[in-house]
Amino acid sequence: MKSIIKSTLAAIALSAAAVTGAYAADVSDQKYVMVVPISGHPFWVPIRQGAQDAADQLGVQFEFTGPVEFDNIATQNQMEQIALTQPSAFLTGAFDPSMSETIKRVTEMGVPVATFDSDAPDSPRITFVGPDHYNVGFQYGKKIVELLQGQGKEEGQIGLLTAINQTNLQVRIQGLKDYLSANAPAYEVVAIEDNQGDDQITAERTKTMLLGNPDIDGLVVINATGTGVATALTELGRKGEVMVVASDVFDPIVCGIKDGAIQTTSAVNTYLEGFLALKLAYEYVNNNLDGTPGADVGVSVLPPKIDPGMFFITKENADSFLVGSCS
Amino acid sequence: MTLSQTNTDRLGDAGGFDFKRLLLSRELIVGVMILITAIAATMLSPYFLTAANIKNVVIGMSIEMIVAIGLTVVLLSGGIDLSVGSVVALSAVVIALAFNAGLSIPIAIAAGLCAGVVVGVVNGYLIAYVGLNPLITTLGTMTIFRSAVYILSGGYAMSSIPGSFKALANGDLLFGLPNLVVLVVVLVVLFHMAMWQNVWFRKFAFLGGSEMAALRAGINVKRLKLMGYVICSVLAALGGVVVVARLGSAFPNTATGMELRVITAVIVGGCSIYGGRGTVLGAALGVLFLALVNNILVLNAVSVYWQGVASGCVLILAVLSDAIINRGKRS
Repeated sequence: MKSIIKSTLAAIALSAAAVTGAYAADVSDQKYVMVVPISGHPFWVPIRQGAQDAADQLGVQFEFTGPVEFDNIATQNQMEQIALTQPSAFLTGAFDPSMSETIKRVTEMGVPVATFDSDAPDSPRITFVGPDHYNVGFQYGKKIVELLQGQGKEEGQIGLLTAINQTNLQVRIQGLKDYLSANAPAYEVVAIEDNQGDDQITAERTKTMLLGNPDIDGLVVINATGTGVATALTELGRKGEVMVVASDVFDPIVCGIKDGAIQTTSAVNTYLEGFLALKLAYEYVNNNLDGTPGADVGVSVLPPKIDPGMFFITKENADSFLVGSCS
Repeated sequence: MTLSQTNTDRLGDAGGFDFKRLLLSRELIVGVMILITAIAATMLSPYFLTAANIKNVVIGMSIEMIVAIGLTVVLLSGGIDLSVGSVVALSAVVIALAFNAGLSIPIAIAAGLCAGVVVGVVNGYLIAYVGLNPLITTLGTMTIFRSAVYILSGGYAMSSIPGSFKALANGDLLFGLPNLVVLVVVLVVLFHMAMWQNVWFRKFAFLGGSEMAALRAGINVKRLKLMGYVICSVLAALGGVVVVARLGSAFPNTATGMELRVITAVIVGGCSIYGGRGTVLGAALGVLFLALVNNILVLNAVSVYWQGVASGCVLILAVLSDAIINRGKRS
């Protein structure tokens, strides 16, 4: 009898192992593809790393791709081409409203899409992990006013540096302007310049902006080109005189904070964007949340929006975010 | 351009002074346009004619001007190089990696310039010896070497740049002039004089005017073409050195799209896209002209949405003025 029980238990154990093994083998075939524009930009590094770590934990494949330039059409074309190979899911940032149509098309081809960083709420994307860009802009407004008030300025002129072809950045600018008009009308945006996402161009445009508007007291860098602004202020000898709120966290920007050319930079927890977007897409693809009440009648099994949170890096905590060194 | 024109314009008349030709020269036309633009800018903005703004314009355009010198050599020889932006980024990342590895400043600079030599040799070999189309070849190497930048950097921006290296670009050792300005002026003068007076450099224009004539004249056309691409890439790599020194960091997306901006400026400066015609001085003036146009638009806080329209119109006017002034001459 004992031997029968032992044999039965062994068989159950083996079956379980076989099932587990088969399950592992199944998911190892799953491929999650992240498609982004300007794919070589350092901004994607933590997002890509987050998604890669999630993929490694789950035992699935992860691929990162996208055009090297900021080209929404090329990004969308790539997604549609890759959709033909039937990956398990796409992870993408919707930097342009036209992305909604692409998401709809690839979803109809059987590939679900999770968005991160920038949303396409009108699309059939399964979830969005990223900041509320309007709120990010709102916080920029609050922060630059705090910095200017800290200098004893009861009114002020503000210049913005941005990439005009990015819709999500326009949303940030609107949030910033709305904060100023509602809470600090004595502070005014007097100039907006296109830096094309390039630090070299940013340096030149910032200097020209400051020379043409010598009363500018503060600069808000809406995209990740704070290094160009730091260079401009250093070359003009106005480091620490013009307050700067930058965006994103790379070593050169953190070094700019340590150097005193930049007062603060906003940091969205982008690692979490990649990590959660992949994990949630995985749960969706593998029907792990089908037990959600109402799932069978169309209730979304994933939260429509998840905000990974944002914070500001200053001189006091800059060292914690420096990956390499400043010299 | 015909061979006879090439001979007359470039090789045969170095001695005589032709006042009419001077008046119709592209350099003078661009010079006048710069003057008109500057006068208009002075009236439009009180900040235009200030030392700080002029310094800003000159420093801001310095990297594009270095790249423009090399592109002039290639365009004169009848070629084109779309990979220059990628070379700037490649050189910048190689230098940053060299510093990360603890190498000294001269070795890091040499490594960056060597990256330029490698790209130049690849471009030159494929175009001159394999006979591939320069536009397609350099379009290919543009993407290959941009990818190499991403592979080498892993997508990271690098900032471990020694302070003494940053001081090279940001200092002013000569009469208070920024080092960058001195470097650019020296390079423009040297290359302009070389392309005008030096027999070997003048072969580039001869080659661009008529490759067949160059062959018949006993010029080693293949080697000359290769050398043109090497010079162009090394100057672009020097641009990368300057970028790292100025910004104190190396971004993998540095100089994306720079090739089109510089080619536009060089053509505005009088370089023919078909080869054989153009000068380094003209190219430098073309870069200066476009930099001034951008400067005025920003100084006067013209909406970013209208800046493209304005700079596009100015560009067409610049080329149109040349076409009108030289209509009789070219027909």
